[in-house]
Amino acid sequence: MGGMNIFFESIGTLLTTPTYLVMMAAFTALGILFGALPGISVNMALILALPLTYSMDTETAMCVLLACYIGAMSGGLISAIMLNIPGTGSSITTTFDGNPMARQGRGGEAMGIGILTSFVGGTLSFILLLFVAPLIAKVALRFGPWEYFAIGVFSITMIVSVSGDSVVKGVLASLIGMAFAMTGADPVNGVSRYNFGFHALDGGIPTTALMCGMFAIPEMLKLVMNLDDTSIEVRQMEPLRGFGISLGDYLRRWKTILRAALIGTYVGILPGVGGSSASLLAYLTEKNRSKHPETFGQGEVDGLIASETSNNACVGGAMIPMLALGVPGSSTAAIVLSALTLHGVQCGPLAFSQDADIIYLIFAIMFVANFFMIAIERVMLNGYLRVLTLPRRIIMVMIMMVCFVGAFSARNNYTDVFVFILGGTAGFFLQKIGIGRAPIVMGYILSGIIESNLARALSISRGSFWAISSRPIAMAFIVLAVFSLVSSLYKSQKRARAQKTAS
Amino acid sequence: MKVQEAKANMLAEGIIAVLAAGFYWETYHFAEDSSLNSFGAAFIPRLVGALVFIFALTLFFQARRVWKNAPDEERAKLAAGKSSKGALTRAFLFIALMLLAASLYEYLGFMLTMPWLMFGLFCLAEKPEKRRYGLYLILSAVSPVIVFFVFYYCFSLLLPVGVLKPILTYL
Repeated sequence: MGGMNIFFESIGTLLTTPTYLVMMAAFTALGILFGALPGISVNMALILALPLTYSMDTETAMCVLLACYIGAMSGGLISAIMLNIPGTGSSITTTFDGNPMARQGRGGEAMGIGILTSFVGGTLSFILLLFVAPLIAKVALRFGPWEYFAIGVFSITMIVSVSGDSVVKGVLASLIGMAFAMTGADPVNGVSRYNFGFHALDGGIPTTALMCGMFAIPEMLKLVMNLDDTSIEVRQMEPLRGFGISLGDYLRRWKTILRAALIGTYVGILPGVGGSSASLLAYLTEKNRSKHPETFGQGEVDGLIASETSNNACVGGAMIPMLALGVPGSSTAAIVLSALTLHGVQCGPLAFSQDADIIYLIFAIMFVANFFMIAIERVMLNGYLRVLTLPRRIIMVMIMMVCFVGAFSARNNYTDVFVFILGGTAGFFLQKIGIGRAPIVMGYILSGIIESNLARALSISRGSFWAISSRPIAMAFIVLAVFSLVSSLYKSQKRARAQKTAS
Repeated sequence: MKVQEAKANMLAEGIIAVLAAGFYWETYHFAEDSSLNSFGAAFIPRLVGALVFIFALTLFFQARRVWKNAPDEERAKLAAGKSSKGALTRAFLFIALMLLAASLYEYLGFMLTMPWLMFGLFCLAEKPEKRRYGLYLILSAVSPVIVFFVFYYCFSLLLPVGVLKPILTYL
């Protein structure tokens, strides 16, 4: 059966199964809430949803996780517009024009346009995902271990190059992530490594517990150390009719919408480059192309559309390498990938032929959840604004409780709770010295892909590293990896020199 | 890099370098059978350990240079500074409380561990003069019970029952 047929069949299944519909609606709503709350990232929303899925079947669990992901990506716009605080990193550029609109008494209009354009951006990227991912998977079927090894290395260097000011710290972060992944049996010979006598670590450091710790504990520790949780005053929003913009007016901006959606999807595909870079790139592109660039930052509708379309389009983009190659494009995709693996879903090129039902069900869930997102966010907008006034410390303590459950229940292992606490504490201190969480998580996830494929490749080539030179695609990725590392090193050196001269 | 940042970096990168050396050294204790594969279980860990060590040392010396070039009075001020002592104490208490909860989780179970942990966290996350003990007590007592039953009835997940086993087995 063709892919499109399976896709439409999956949509039919989703729409006729009440459990799926209820779960998608509930978790889209929850995702929007977490996205809207400043300081609670999309990653944390996913980690909180994960323990709830442990006892669910694969299909329901996917509905929960993907709906939560899509909701959280869009929810960031609520606090960005009404509080001038981006709920998620990817909605930073939404504050540039969304908040000025709110200050001009056009908050309702900004919200309506933001919600509508989030939906459009998401839908356009899912359509691209539907067509592009199977093509990439088809090409990837010819990939051998050298290619996967090279893609893994390339992904790590990309993350390093965008992870902050210091390239050395970026490399160190991804290496620390890889070191975490070395615990347990090695992927080739099954030799036990770094378990220090704890048999609970024979299977490696538990991914869920480590992720829970890495994303939740640093936030709680920051709150405990700074005690800066002041209550937030939410701006009053005037009544909103429809989406605050007429259809004709919206469609007249089709070039902006399409450009932003393409930028968002493209940036999403690139490993390590997330929604924040996508929305900034789309925003700047729009500003540079505009006949009135001076209106950007003053409440320009095009700026808002560019930002929100691109950051939601990023979701579809990030799913392309994850589903087609089994290589996550971002730390959020890495969490989705590990959650899907936990539920027995194996992503990669073979999945398109062997588990086509599951892969196309994923596409269908994303497509349907996007409709839930627009409906729920529009209808419950005032409710979300009210929740934003809740003190953050109360929400964070509740999150810690759910993380305790999440860390323990993935394997029903009490040691995992210690991994959650110690991993999170290590993550906090590493963050304090400028070593980011995203490259650690990506290093941790990609380590397995790099090590097992390198071992397989070397055993095929009888231990010769030079065999890679006979694989043009692998060589291309290695060259790209070296180029991205060297260029980011050059840029950081240049920046440091400029700073020195200035001081 | 600021002087304060340099001081923290020196300490942290030093610790990371020592841990990386230990990580590398541990590879010699793997029970590896060399006949299994030419690519041994220790190859990547050794590479990672060595690279982490090199990068951590690079950052350590970078931070040390900033620290050494800083004016003496600034270094003395930082050495005597007690401004972050309260924050560090709260962080230490937070970690200690969490570890204590993790240690007692198996024996006390979810419903008896969470209330005091949550109450402690609420108190740690708020200035003493602004604490609302009544609200914290209610939230800490009620929410674990709700979460326990929501997980049990809605998601078929039985959270640790601990010493409450005789009562909760009636579920």
